[in-house]
Amino acid sequence: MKQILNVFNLKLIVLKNKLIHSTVMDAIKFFILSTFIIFYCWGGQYVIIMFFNKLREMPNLAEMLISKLWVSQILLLLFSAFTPFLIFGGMISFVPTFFNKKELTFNMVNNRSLFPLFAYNYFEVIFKNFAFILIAIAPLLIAYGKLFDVSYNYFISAPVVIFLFAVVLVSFGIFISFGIMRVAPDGKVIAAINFATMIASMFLIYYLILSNPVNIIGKDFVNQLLKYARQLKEPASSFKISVMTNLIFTGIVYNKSELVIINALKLLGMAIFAIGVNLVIGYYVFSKKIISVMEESGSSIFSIFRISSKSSPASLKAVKKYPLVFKEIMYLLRDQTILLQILTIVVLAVAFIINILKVSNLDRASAIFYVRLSYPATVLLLTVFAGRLVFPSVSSEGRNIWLIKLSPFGIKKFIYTKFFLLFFMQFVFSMIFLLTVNFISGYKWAIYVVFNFAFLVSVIMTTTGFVLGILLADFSESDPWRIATGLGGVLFFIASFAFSLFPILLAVISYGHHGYRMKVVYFSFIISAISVLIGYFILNKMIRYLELKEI
Amino acid sequence: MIKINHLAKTIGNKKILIDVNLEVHSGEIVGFLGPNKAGKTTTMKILAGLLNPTSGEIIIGDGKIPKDDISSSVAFIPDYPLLYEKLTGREYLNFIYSVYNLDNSSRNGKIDYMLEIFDLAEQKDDLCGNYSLGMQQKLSFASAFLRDPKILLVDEPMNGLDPKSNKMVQDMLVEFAANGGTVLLSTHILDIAERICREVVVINKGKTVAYGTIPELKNMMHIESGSLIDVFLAVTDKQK
Repeated sequence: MKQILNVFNLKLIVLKNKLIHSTVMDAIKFFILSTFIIFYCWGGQYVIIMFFNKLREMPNLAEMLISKLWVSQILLLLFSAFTPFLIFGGMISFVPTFFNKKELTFNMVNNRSLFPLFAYNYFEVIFKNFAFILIAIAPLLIAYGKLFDVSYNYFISAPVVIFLFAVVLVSFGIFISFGIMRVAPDGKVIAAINFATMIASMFLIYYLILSNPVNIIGKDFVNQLLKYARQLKEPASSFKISVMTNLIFTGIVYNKSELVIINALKLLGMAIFAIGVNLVIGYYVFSKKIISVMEESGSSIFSIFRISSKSSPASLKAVKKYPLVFKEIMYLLRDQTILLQILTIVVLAVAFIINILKVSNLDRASAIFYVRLSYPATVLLLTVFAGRLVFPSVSSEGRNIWLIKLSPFGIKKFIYTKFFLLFFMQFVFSMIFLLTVNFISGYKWAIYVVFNFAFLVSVIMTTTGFVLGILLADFSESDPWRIATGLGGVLFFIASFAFSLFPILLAVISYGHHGYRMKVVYFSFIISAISVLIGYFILNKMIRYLELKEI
Repeated sequence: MIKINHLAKTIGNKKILIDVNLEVHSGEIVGFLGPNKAGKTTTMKILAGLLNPTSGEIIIGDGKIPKDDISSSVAFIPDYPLLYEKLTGREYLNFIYSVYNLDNSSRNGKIDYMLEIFDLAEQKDDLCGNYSLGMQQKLSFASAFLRDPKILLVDEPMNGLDPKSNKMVQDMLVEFAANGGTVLLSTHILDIAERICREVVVINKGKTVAYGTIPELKNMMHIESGSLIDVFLAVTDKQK
């Protein structure tokens, strides 16, 4: 116990030192992030309450009984959606958190037990996922409480319940990784876990999207919604984690203390069990296999597929002609985390298309609805892509940026090469996705709208990614995964989505019931041209900034 | 040639360099010595073009090299190798060859030669990320020599090198200087400086505190017998 506290104490000292040595820029970044979270939670709950109050006033929705039960079901839907994400969160955090070679080597050479570090890492993964889900769900939870005027106990117990929910699911994800670690051949543990995470992520996202009631928003939105509302039943106890968590909240709102106590005890028991299993069985597997993991070097998904990561005559020819493009493509192909991100996005796109194909006899109104929905969906997919690949692309060069800065190649050519490569990938992806949705929806072939939107959004995403990426670059950090999940990554997600709202609006209103509206399309072209000019100007300023920046 | 007069550098409120002076002529290896935090790496980074000086004068290559060509003439080998981990050794050298626009006709021959003399030929098609620190350092040297620079800035070059590679790197630096090259060598291993450097510059707390051949420095510090380490300690202790 003392050793575990020592590890926590050490981490606290690191945090204290970070605070002492923080700069004005760090303070500004912290302020922006805090403001965003407060704005998101407070503004979000305000919008939700307003939305429900408006719904209550609508005559044709009056019979839907916008009740506690109704909000409770939405919350249940959210908890269900978070279930696979938290399990996946546990799996995806496993390798980078538990296999920090520096920390492990330090403890091993000093003959110290690895358990304190193991325990710290375990709770760190849980806490990070807990913080994420708590922030994400906060507006709805606050709105739920305020709409039905519940007591302050609700607001105090909410974070505890969410924490227990996160403990059970994240622990499950971590435990799956321990299971893979146990059965993986020596020297291939990391590769096996990464491979399994990749498969799991694709499966979970596919499952999540297909199992979602997207088809509620089908031919007749209101009728479908009414049907859904009528199907709602009074809450009853269950062993399903998402149901149990939801029932605790519902119980408080309904003043059913028995429902709260039973489910809270069940959830607490499961959380304690999950922690115990991971700390005992998980640590046993970890300590047995860790030497094999330490000996593993450069093992990747490719080694499982037996795809060579060695140089070939073709690769040598390419590096001679297009060195930077070659380097970027090799990083895409040989870095399993990047490959995983791209595959996940492709799976999401495919799942969206399959969802539409599942709706038989698509009428005109539904077709337009799906085509319109494909535009915000494209932005969402591109935001994930750009957040993982475009935003960290400058920072992830790390100290290697010196190589470029000192070479005749120069920063400008370097940035523009990366820019066009990543822009091209986004543009082609969005064109294929949007045209496919257009085609299967049976809508008129809207090539102008699709082309203009794909071009405009790709320009916006790439420029925003590079501008923020250069401005917030930290060349001491070269792991794109960590850069993308930091503060800059969050800012990028907000900024790129906000900048894309106008193009989404333009694309959506381009579709009319009798073909697309040419005036809007022409206007979109003008906006595209202006955006390119603005982007070019800002990007050049940023390149100059990077050229002068002392690294 | 490298010439630095009254170089100063302030980062934030910290005066990293106060008054650094040195001169390295063509065909010379000059040892650049100093305790930790003396300002050696900062000086090297300014010479390489990564940092801008706050004040002072820097002349590189007799002042005749056009500013745009300085990057081609100067090779900086930092204390930790700069490599792309997802490229193989051979791909990495090809990458460097291309970004420096070197003569394409001799590409394959030069790259194979560098891989051969740095003992990396067998692992040339393995990813750089799978190399040991010593191998990465050797590849870093290979990429620098590949470019045929006129000036070498070498910061702690022997990190991770085995004795054989250590000796080979020293020999290559001597040969480079013998062929008219200029080398500024920052190192904490004073034996190496004593063996291959004609002159040494000692800096401490951002100032040049001693400069000359080793016998000159011994005379200056009144050390009749003893090695460079005695001179180094005497010079830096005097500063305290």
